[in-house]
Amino acid sequence: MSKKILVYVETLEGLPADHSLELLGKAGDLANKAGLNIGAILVGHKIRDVAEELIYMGADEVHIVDDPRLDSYKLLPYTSAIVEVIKKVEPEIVLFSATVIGRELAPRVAARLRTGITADCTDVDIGDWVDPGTGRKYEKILYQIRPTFGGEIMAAIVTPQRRPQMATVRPGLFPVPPRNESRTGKVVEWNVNIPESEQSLVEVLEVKREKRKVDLKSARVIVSGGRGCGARGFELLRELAKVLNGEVGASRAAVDSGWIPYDHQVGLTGQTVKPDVYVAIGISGAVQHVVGMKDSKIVIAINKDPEAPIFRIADYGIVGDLFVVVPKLIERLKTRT
Amino acid sequence: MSAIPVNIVVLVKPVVDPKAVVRFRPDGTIDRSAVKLVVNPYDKYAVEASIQLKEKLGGKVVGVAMAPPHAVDALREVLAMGVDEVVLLSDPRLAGSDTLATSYALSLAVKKIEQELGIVDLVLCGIESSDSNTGHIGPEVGEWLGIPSVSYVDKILEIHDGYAVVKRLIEGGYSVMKVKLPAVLSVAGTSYQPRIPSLREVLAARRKHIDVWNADAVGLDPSLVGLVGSPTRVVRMWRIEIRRRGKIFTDSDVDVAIEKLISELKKDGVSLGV
Amino acid sequence: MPLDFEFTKEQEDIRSTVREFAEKYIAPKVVEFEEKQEIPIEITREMARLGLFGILFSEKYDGLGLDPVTAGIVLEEIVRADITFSLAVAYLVHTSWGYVAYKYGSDDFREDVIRKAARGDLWVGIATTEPGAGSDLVGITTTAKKNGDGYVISGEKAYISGVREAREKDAWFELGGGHVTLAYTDKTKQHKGMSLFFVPLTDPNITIRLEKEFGRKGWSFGSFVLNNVRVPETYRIGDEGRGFYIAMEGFDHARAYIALACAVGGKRAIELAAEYAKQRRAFGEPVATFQGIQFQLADNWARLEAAHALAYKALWALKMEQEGRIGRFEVTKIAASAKLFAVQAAKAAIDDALRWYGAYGYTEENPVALALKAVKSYDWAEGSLDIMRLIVAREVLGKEYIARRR
Repeated sequence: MSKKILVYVETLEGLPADHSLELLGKAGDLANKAGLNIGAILVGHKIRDVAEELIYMGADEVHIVDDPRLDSYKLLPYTSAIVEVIKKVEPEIVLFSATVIGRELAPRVAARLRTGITADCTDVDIGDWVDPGTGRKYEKILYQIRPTFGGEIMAAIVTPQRRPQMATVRPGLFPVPPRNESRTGKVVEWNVNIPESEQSLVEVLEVKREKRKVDLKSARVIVSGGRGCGARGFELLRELAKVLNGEVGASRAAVDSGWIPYDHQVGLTGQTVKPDVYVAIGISGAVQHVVGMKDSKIVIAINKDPEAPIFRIADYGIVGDLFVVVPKLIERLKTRT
Repeated sequence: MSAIPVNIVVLVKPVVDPKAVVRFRPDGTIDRSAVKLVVNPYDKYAVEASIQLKEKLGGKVVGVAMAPPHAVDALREVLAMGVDEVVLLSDPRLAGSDTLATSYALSLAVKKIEQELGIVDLVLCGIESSDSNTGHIGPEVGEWLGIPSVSYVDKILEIHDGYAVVKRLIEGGYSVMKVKLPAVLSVAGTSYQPRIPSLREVLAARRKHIDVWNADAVGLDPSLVGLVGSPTRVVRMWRIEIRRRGKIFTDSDVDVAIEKLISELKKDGVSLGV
Repeated sequence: MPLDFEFTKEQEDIRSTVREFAEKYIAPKVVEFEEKQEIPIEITREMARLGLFGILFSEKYDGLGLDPVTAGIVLEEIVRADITFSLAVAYLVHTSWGYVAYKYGSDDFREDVIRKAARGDLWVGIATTEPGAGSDLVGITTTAKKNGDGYVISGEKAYISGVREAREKDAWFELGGGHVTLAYTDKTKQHKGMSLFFVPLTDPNITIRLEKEFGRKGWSFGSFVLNNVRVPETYRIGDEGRGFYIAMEGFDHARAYIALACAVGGKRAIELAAEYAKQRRAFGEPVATFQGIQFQLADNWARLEAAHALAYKALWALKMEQEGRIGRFEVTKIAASAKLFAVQAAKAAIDDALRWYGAYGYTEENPVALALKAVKSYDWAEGSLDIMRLIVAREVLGKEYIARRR
């Protein structure tokens, strides 16, 4: 093994994704603990600039596969590219962000390498482990920590023998590392063989994406609306958010209904947020949404259904019609007693 | 869609009823006894999708689960919904399998079904399970079978001879993709509403036979499954300490409820920044 | 007698299915039942699709050919989700009186009406009570005169459930519905001169009038006047002169289901109020820690457990009767006991449970308050509590001890 931790970096419009940078930062901590070098894997076309950027963001080395055929993400060719790099570089640990892409790319890579992988980690750490069965001690291995049973139970998982140890890590948990233009490192370009057959198996016909403008991640207070709100409800929410000096968030249902743009979406296919206060209004509390706000310090829920799952993860709540509760709440908060 | 029949294998996982409270035994392991097993709710979207395709195009839908023998009852739900057959892959040597080992075993079951049906066009599954939430089975089964996989499929738009057109979700939107068949699709819960079977269908499902296959029946290499075949090990499980305060106010007088909310927030020292 | 309190796997499958339906369709809308004073049509239609309206009818007529205990399981799940009892009434009346109509109806009637009832296209209600006669059915004045190949029925029935839902086609039920109606075919013979008829409420010679019910507002309650309503002979249920006796049998069915609904409704009320009591604080503690509340809870719960078991015994007795293994009057005794006991247990439990809410209990939104209003109807519906007492006493002492008319 080559004493490296590699982070697979996703790019968005020519820049490294924030979540990949966060992961790079975290990997740096792990690398220090384990005495490893820290690097990145980058796949795409015309990505040298991104590679340089990653060095400023903390990577000692960046392994790139630059090929016109890899211009946009495709699961199988990307899998092949990454697997080849891993076989050549032989890292101890490879980490991916648990994005939609990461959650399908990483397991395919792991399966092809016949190695172990843990999904959706909320924390990763370096530690020792003794196998109770054999008594054998494994030093400085990756502890992969994640919630199970829908979040009720935490599990710690290790991959004692196979290499690399792999994990996907939930975005939005760690800070973006500081940028330092004086950092140096090396960029290694790899030519890999991408089987012709793999390239034609999947063809992208259409992509519709909206670019994120609002950044909910830095908001200390988020007032979020769901299916129960309607366009009118969101007007009320905006007012409440203003009174609380917060941002407006939304569930996927609200965004899909067109009441608020995608960049306000919180949840599995939206953003993961950890504000001090999260007010969930007219949101039922389905897992796909909760996953994106579970770690909020305080959760306040307003919903007219007393059985709504959101109440199970709320610190405070009011069962009632949001169109009655929210205006009164706004009035009450304005009086500042 | 073209009117060609499709043969579909749908992967389902019997899980502990997500609504039940998780209990620990004194030794720290999870007490799975006496709790009802049900089909992973996420898989039901995949089951619904497969039945809708069958209704439109014809063909056969076979459900496959890898689980201990008593899980057989949970699978009847899937039969009642309209799946033609269900097979349970069960063997003590499979116990303790992680996703790599599980996906290997399931891929062999799919291959055996392919032998029996002649062809399998699609393998469907849910995006994740309610107990492990990894989402790995779809892509890993695809890898073992050497076929494409697409996760987070919102809707299967078209099926033609040799390929499918699907709409899949990505952060911030969706993409429409053309996928060569056979392929593995993990189906999200955004477009398919799992049907509640009628009582007649429920009772008929109770009387149907469910095949149980052991490791030898599918030609499993025992060194690739179970604890011995699983590269990952769970070393510790613990209940999350974060206890939500759960102070929910149900007063029908909203002003009263709001006052209570404000005073409780104050009492707990929570500042709303106002 | 060896007893087994376990249900079969098929019954558990059925329970899961109905529970899934109840959680998805009923629970989110329950608050509206009372507010809008009606049940959303999607609910009865979905119940029809699931086969819930055909549980007891033979498979020959598109039913499921199951037994009253299994029908009880379906009712349990409905009551758990709808503590206002509106949907419970819709289900139990159709299930019990539909069964009796099927049992004693002619083959033509089964083909023409029962098949549709089994599919849930048509609802079956009961109409014996009149403005001038309830407990004393001999006092009814509705008559049915033989006329050609049918009967002409005139009279008025009052305090009848489901008049609106049976009246309107293409609404809760595609074909509306009808009521099993008690009428005199020979007034001189008193209760030996009565007959039962299935009367479609969609008939133009019927006028309905709705009452403003005290509770259970989701399902209609009112009266209907029959103005020379013609029904074919095949719609007569059982022989002429047997109407009163068949009606008594129908009441036993209804009473068993009512007992079960009360037991389950009472338990739900306690569960809901107990959850509230855990949150509500007074004098520095959650109210649930006060032993006064705990003692009430325990006394009520024990009675409801007894009611629950007795209700299932009554349903079991009905099942035994279907199989010819128990006598008619034994069934009557158990069913009357079950209703007598369960209604009182539920009323007491719901009343206590409501009190734990404090003043909030006095609002129309409180589900336990709605349950209290609903369960009050069972002081009278399908036989008053006092009549239950007379029945049980009669069965234990013997007919000779029935108090005579003066």
